[in-house]
Amino acid sequence: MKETGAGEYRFTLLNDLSEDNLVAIRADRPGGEAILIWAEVELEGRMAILRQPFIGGFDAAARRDLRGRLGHGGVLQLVQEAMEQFDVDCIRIEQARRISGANPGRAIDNLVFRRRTRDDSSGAPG
Amino acid sequence: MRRADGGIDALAVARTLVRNGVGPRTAKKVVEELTQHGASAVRMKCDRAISTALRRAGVAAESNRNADIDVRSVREKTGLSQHDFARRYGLAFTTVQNWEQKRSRPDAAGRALLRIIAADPAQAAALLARAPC
Repeated sequence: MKETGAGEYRFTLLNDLSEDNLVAIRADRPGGEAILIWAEVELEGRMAILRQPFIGGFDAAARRDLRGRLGHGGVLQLVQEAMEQFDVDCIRIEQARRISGANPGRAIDNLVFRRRTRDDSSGAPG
Repeated sequence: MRRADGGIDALAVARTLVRNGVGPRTAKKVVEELTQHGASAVRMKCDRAISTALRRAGVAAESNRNADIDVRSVREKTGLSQHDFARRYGLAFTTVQNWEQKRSRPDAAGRALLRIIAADPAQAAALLARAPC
């Protein structure tokens, strides 16, 4: 397992669940939840494209803790830290589907997150 | 395999599959199907230890290679008569009758069709209607 982490989240590559472009990463926040991010990853210049991502609590306990809590703000923070730590300027999420909530399996529109600069504090999807 | 009511431990399911010869990509697909649709299928060995590990992760696993299927129950869930069931799913009326009365048993292809019908009767009918002859 390869670890990286200077920010709040620590990212760990899970070799046993990764192959070729399919990458599984555990994101840990000290004293907080652990999140499993499992997606087909492609790099285009300084943009990382995550296709068909599965993002959820790392295990059953984390899933319970996370239920309804990760939310928009949590995803934003996670993605911002991932961009910092993997040194990309943009993360594009494609072909995502809801895995929880009222309508699991529903397709989610593509999302583009840009790395925050000192002049820009939003980083919201565009 | 089917998702239990309480949701699944996605990581435990994935690791159980991968440790038993399923590729990571297929394991991810299974986890997604279980999470989104509540059921999935994968070709793998399935002994008691694997079933137990999956059950602990919130998944009921069963081998479906030779399992009998309750044809009457599948049909009754669709709310169709034997005649209408046969017509909708491209079967002979006498075949459905014989299956239900245990005079004959569905072969592997028949069991697979019945499982698909049981999982999603409307989608199964729509796909059959669209399929070329």
